[in-house]
Order: sequence, then structure tokens, then C-alpha cells
Amino acid sequence: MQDITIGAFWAMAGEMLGAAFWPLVLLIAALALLDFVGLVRGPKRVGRRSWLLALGIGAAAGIAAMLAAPGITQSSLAQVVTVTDWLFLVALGLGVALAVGLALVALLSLRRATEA
Amino acid sequence: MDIKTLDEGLSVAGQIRPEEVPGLAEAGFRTIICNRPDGEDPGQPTAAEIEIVARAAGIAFADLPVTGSSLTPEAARTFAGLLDTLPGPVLAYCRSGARSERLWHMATEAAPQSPGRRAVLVGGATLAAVAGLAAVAGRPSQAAVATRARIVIAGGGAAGLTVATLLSRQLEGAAITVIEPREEHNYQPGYTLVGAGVKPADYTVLRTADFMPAGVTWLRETAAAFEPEANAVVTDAGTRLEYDYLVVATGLVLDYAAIEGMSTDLIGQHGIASVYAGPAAAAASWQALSAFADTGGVGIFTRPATDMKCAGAPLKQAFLADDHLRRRGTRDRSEVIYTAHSKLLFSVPLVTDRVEELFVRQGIEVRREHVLAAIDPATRIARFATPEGGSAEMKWDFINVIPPMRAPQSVRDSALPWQEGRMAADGWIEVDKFTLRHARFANVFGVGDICGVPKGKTAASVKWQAPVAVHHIVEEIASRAPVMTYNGYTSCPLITSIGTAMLVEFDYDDNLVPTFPGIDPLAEGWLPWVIKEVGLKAAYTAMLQGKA
Repeated sequence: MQDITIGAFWAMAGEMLGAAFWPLVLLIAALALLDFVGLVRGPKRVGRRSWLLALGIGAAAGIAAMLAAPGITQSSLAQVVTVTDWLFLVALGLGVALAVGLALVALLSLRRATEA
Repeated sequence: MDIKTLDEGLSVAGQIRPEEVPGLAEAGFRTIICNRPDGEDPGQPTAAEIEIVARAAGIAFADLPVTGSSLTPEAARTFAGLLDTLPGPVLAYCRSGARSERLWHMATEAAPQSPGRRAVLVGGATLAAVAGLAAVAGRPSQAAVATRARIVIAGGGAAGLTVATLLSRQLEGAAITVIEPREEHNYQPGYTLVGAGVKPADYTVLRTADFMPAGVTWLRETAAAFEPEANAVVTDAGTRLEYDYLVVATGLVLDYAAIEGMSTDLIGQHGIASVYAGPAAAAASWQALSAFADTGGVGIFTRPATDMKCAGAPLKQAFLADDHLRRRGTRDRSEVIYTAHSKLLFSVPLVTDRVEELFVRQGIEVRREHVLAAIDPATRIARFATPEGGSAEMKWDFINVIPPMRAPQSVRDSALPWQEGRMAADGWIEVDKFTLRHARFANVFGVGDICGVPKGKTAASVKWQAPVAVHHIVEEIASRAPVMTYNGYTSCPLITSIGTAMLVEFDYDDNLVPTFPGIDPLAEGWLPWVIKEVGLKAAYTAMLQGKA
């Protein structure tokens, strides 16, 4: 396990996901693009309530991801015990929350633009 | 700290301390070489401690410990190789700086190196210069070397395939042959998960063809005789292969017959489990364990007296059985007994202490110095050899049998094994534990379970052994001084229940060498379990393809 590099992680992700790897990479890239749009255009095009709604849904998604992750790995939340475990889980939840929230902001801003 | 400058690229010093390393980085040093063995003085910082700080400060690090008796021309050549390869300026240190300085004098006074014994194998110029310096000290990256060398790899398991992949990338024109009869390749680290009902049997089943690198000849036969004196291997089909280099990667054999009354046909019956025999055996073991968990009773978990692959597996299986009994509500009417072959539960003292603690917590009993000698499936009575020729019998409702493990007969019948000492009895081959080069046949290397080294019978060890053996072969062909060494790195994700594990990683010196910052090797947690359950198979297949 020593000498883990970004390249090694990339290769391992490819091995883990098999045929789903590249579609997932494209999906994440699209999500990242949406997030970028959300960050750039969101403040101007999206109202405060929509922001709050998007981030609320994002937070819910993040919490759901945190609750589901141990079970997906055949473990349970009760077995998330060390500080590192929790940091990993919180990072996962934050990542999902931000990605979903910002993607929603982007979608809302695009909708506003279309409507205008 | 007194630093003595020997030339513009090299300075020497006495023992340095970790807190001095950032200052060395600021002073412009880009590489540190340690020439001092650990443990010479009480309180002496280890090379590993210096290395950690050096890497954090962006300084490359190499460990070339020498004593008065090991200040040899070979050590000087290796030192020269490090100076040629690693970024300068370099600071070398020992206790006083004298050994480092002596190495430099020897290296600079030596006549220009004559081409290596096998330099004639170089079929052309190196296709490209050394591409650059690797991020990891002592691991120079390289472009492919042109050669007509004949390289035979005996065995196409994890070790053989990884070596084949790396060699095929680093050599251009070499005739590389892998001798391996099996079409099916098994991801053996997954057996314990199958045996615990966490994964299905086919989780471990892969195809050899998917990992055999292009340009390598795959001979679907078995290496039946090794003739290192004649540089030849003979297969069971009578094919005779002559080589310039041989990599022995045969793995080991499971000696079930050494346990009286035991055979693989019994796995899954009479409460007998044994995951090592293959995916089907692992699945049958799960059936036996599941039935035991339903009823409870006496569960016995054995460990052979020989060296064994994945020495943490017997412990994991005891923990997993304990967990299943608790989940099914039968733990209170059960006994879980672990029979240790020695007084210790694990070879690394720190890990032993931790496992002892966990066994007490879980109520797992330990019978020390009990080695399974015979079983009677009809009566479910197991007989154990105990110290001073004694024996003890225990009745089981469930027994996890781990057979003695030895080198294959073809290796044992050859001149390759150790000739005396602890490793000789089971036929492990006599390789240098740092370079993996055979002690008596310089063009023979060992990788994987077959090596007669103190630690390293895991797939994770192969990840570190294979590049070392390949590096020495490639560097010798290219008439360069090899610098890479294997430090005994072994990894054991020690499962303590379904959902938790400890990511135990250690080296020859029993140092814990965690890969991931923040993961305490002796703390149970979810993240090490995720790494085992989700990440390791991907890391393994990536390793076979030379990607990780």
C-alpha cells in the first residue's frame, strides 16, 4: 500500500469501477462544469431563496450520503469510530452536499436565463 | 552539526537529527544518504525517522547502512550509483561522517567500472537516458533498455505477472517467458472475505490472460526442475528453457497431507473450514462457519508452524467467527479458541500486544504452542503437537484448518533453497533479503511467497519486491549500479469484525510503516475496512498491470 500516488488512485478507481469508470468520469466532469456555472452565475441570476433551497437539498444529499456510506460497505455507522473515519465520512458528505447544491444552483440559473 | 564538504556535489556529517533536516533543505541539500545502521547507539534516530522528515522537506532519501566490515567495493559502487542517480547536492551521514567519507574515497579511487558480467547482453544503446529522478529516493525511473537477454519467470501468480509487466516495460527486445499452467488467476487476499460470507466465491476469480503483458511468451506448463548451475529450467512437459536471468515466483504449496486425516475434500464438511485451498474451498468454509454460527459450540482456529502467506488471516478468521456468533446470538454458548504455533500471536510485537488485548475483549481463548497434527472428522477431535513432544486433544464443532506451507517440490529438489537454518526445512530460496538476488546464483532472483526472507508473504509485499528484483536485472543489463532495496514491507488489513479493521503495515525491523497519514495501524476503524473491502482488489489488479 505504500507509495500511493494520484496516478495509482486513478488506476485503482479504473479497476474498481470497470466499464462504469469513464461514464462516471464524464458525469463528474459535467457536474463540475455545472458547479462552476453555479459559482460564476449563481449569485447574479439566482435569488436568495433558490440558493437556500439548493444548498438545503445539497445538505440533505450530503447527510444521506454520510448515513448510507457505511452500509454500502457492509459496515454500519456504529463502526465509524476513529477521528480519521469521521473526517473521511464528513469529507464525503461535504463533497456530495457541495456538488449537489451547486449543481442545483447552476440548473436554476440556467432556467432563469432560459425564461428571460 | 559539522558538515564537511568533499566536493561540490557531496558533503558528509555525523548523525543528524530529524529536527535538523528542514535546515538542510534550506541549505540546499536535495538528497540525504544514511550510511549508519539503526540501533548503533541508544536514542539514535532511525533512518526511517530521518526519511519521513526528509521527504516532507522535499529531500530525496536513500539508506545504505555500512559498518567497518561492510565497507566493501560493492558498497562503494552502490554509493557511487546513488550519487550518480539522486539529485545533488547530497549529504551523507553516519555516526561521525567517517564511513560516508570512506565510501566516497573508495568510490572515487576505484577504477572505472568494467562492464557487468552480462553487459554483453546489451543489444544496443540505452534507448533513452534516465528519464528523470523518481519522487521516491532510490527508485530512479528509467527508459527502456535494449537487450537480447533471455529471462524466464517461473510462476504466473501475483509475483510472476507483476515482474513480467515491469520487465516488459523496462526492457526492449528481451525474450521474457512466463511458465504458468493455470488459466485462472485467484485474488487470494479476498479468500477471507469469501470465507466470512462478505463476498461471493467468484469475487476472487480472475483470468491469467487478462494480466499477461503483450510481448511476453506464456508457456502453459509447470516448472518441474531448476538447474541454476546450467542456467536452465525444465518443465513438466519436458521443455528446457535456458536463461540469462531467472525470476523464481512459483509461490508455495499447501501441505494438507502433513495434517493426519486432513484433505481438501473435507472442507465444508464436519465443521471443517480452510479458505486457502481456493475459491470453492473459501465458499465451502463460509457454509461451515455459517452453520456453526447458527448453533454455537467450540470453534478452533489453527495456525501452522511454518512460514505462511498472509499470516494475519488466522487471526482475522477468529475475529470474524466471533462476530458472526454475536450477530446470531450464539456467542454466549460458544468457545472461540485460537491455537498459536508459538508463544506469540503475531511476528510484530506491537501487533501481538494489540491482538492480545482484542482477544481478551472478545473472549477469544489462546492455546499457545499448539500446532495441529491430526484431525478425526468422524469424532471431530483434533490432536495438537505441544512443546517437548507432547500432544493435546480438543473436540471441535468448527475448526479452521490452515495447512503447513512450503516451497514446491521442484524448488526443494534444486540447489535454490537455503542449505541450512530455519528457512532450509521448508525449501524457501536463499535470496538476499534486501535485493532479492540469490545468494549463490547471481542471475537468479526471487519474488513473492517463495523467498526465504523474514517477512513478506503477502500480495502487498509483491508490490514492493517486484520493482526491486526488476530494477536489479535492468540495471545490471544496462551496466549501472542498482540502488533499490526491499525493506520487508508487509501489509495486513487485520479485520476485527465485519465493518472494522486495522491497517497493519510493517517492515523487517518490526517498525510500523503506515501508508496513510492519520490512520493509526493499531486502531480499529471503518476506513481500514473500506480499504480492505473496496480498495484492495482494485489496487491488486492495478499492481498486476504495473499501474499502481
